[in-house]
Amino acid sequence: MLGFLPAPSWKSMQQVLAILTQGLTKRFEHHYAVRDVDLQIQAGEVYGLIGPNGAGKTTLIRMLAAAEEPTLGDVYIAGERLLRGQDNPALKRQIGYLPDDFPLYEDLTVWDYLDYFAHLYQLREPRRTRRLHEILELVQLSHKRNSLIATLSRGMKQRLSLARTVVHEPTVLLLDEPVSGLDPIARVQFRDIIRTLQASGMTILISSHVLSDLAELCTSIGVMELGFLVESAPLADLYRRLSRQTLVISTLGAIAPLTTALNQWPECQVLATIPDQGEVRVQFTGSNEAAADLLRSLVHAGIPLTQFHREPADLESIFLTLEHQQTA
Amino acid sequence: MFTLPNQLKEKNPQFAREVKGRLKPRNVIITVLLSVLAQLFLLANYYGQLPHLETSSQKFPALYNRFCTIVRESRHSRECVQDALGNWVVDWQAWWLEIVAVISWVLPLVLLTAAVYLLISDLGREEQRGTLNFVRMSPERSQSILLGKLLGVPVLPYLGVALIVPLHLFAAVQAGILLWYLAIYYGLIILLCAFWSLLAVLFALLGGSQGWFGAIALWLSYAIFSQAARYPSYQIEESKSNLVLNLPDWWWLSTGKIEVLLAFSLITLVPTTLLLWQAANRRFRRPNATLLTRTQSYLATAFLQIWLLGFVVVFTINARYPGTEESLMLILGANLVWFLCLTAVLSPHRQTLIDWARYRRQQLGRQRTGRRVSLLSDLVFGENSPAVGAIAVNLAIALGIDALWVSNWTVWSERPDSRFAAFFSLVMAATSLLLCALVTQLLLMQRSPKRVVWTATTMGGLILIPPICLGIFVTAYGVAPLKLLWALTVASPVLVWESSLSLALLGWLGQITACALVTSTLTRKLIKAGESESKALFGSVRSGV
Repeated sequence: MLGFLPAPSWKSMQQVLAILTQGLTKRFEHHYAVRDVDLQIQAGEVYGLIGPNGAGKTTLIRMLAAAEEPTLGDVYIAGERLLRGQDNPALKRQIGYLPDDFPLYEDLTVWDYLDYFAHLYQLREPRRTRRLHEILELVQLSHKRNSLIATLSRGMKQRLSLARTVVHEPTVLLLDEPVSGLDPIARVQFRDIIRTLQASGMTILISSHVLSDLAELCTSIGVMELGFLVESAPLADLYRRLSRQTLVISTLGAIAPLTTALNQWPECQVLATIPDQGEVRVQFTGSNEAAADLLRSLVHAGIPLTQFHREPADLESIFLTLEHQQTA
Repeated sequence: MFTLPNQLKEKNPQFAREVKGRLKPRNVIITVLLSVLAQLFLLANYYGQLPHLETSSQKFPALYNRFCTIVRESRHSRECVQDALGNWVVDWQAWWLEIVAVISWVLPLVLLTAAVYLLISDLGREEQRGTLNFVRMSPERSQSILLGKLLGVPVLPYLGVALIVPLHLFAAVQAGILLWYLAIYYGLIILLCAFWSLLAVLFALLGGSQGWFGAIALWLSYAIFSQAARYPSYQIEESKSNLVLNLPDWWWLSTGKIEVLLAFSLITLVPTTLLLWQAANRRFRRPNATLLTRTQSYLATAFLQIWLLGFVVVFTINARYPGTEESLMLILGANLVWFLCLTAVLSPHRQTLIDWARYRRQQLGRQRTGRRVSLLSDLVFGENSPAVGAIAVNLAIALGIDALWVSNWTVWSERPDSRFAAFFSLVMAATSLLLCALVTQLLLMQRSPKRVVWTATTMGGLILIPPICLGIFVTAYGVAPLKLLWALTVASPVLVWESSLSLALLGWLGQITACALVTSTLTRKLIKAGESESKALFGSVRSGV
């Protein structure tokens, strides 16, 4: 497969991309869990992976983390190919993987647990102790450093697992459903940590069913269905291509003159009216100039406007636009 | 709580983690107490067996005790004498020698049982909970992790046993045993410990988590070994052969000599332990891979044949007594067990076989190096191809070595064709084993999630039941055509020894036909498994129409 690519572009592509897969395929019996996936994630991105249950997200992430051998295809992390059946020590130092379940050594203290993994990842002093302090502060577990893991809450255990995942400062972080089962406060804490890690330059691939979280965190989105990667693009590009532009217009006066004026515009389609608040929600297909014309005409028509703004489309509506109805 | 040196943690973090988790003050105190108490109990017990004044009476003035000095007819009833002060004269050397003997037998048993039990339980638990996967994903080498486990998990039993060593050494010095004998003894115990611990690790990595199972297997093996290798003589008169086990001669060398015994033990234990080490590392790195590579299996088979023949050459080549048939049966029996194990070890996972059948051409036909890999080479050396090719090569290796042995036999039998008959037995046995491998592979291709259990049960039945039934019927009726059925059992060599050459040849042709039939079925199944989805779909549509 590599032979078909012109050498210079291939080389430069490898250097830029944090994650690259080529024809990545995984079969279980005769069923394809992941099928011919060509994934490209730029360094420093936060890439959200969404899709219905059973779409192949977890299998794809496990193959990227070298926890599962692919049936076919290759994985490159920061330009280095993952070699099957070998230890790949240099590559493993670049990867941090947090699966959706996170078994821990309940008999160890928080510090001993992280210290053990810091040693496994061959961190040397004084960097090791400094890193352990940093990471405990990052996941807000400094006060629990001498507590037994068995005594931690689920949210704390989740954060400790994340700490273990990033203790060696990987360049690529793979998170599989990291916020499942967490309460809203724990989710907010987790999101903040991810933002900090992103700011430190890590490339993060995150799969989640909580699309609002992904919309806040991600720079690119990939959509998986039946093992295929059916969509992979920067989030802004997705919004531009797929989002329906919604205008929210409010008036101090009656609703009827406003809706009458709006219906004269072919680019407008009234979606909903809220008479109590004098608010109308409109799907608008025109350009920015057309929107400015619309505002001007409404003002000229003497409608006492209090609000005229565009509402950004959310990821969920984009996902539904793609007709992936099974998402939770 | 003590603090581990940082250098140790950096050298082997896994060992440091295990030791830190286990060497807690309470555990250490209990271990030390148990070890010291066991030693006190042993000494007290033997002290109680010394001749004491009160054991002699007016009625029976003569006192007999095995630790006294005057030797009578029986070694265990020595007559005691008193010195000028009226104290019994004790043969202290004999007393210490018995203590050495007891420690020498009990120490490895305790050590191995504890190590095997703890390793299986620990690794089994880690595999089940999934914590081992995180360790696997770290850049630490598998060798370092496994070494850390092997040394760290049983650290408490190691400590307990280490505390017995001073008493053992002291007793040995008092008993007049040469210290280098003890050094050899400890070297062998370490090797044995490595061997059994690696077996335990492999058992756990294969999915086992029942520590007691390993402990029972160890106890049984120990019991069989101690019976087979007659109880060593610890009499002072034979002090030079102390600690030497009486095993049969090996390649005409007497294992009664400590140098030969040592060489034999090293030749036996070092390669097998290394092989287990390779398999454990391979399995740890790739949980779905076969335990051995094909090349390793060829070397192992060749080694096993040479090792086994060492025990029978003395009865078959330049032999003073006839022993060819028994020797041949021993070799055939051992090969049956070995090849059944080998078939299990070399058979790839069903998914691997399906993927191999589907993508073989894509994966191997165009390697990155540009080198084309032929089907034959893939079957012989590839890791994902069906095991049958590798089993055939292994059988050829065994057959070649065994044929060389048979050709050098001293012929005692009345049958002039005994060498030819033996050679033909080997060929028939090899063909039976190939048939077994083919059927096993076929059974392992079934879709059932319990295919391994089904395959093991079916193969167990096929191996045991037909020979028993045939044994009964042929003895009862003795009909020649019925004898022909021996060819289709694992006891096919019986046909060579119990019937005419022409019937045996006919039986062999039957075996070949059966092999061809099973091969064709297996090939069909593999081709079907390797069909592309569209071909399968069109096939089903066509058959539906």
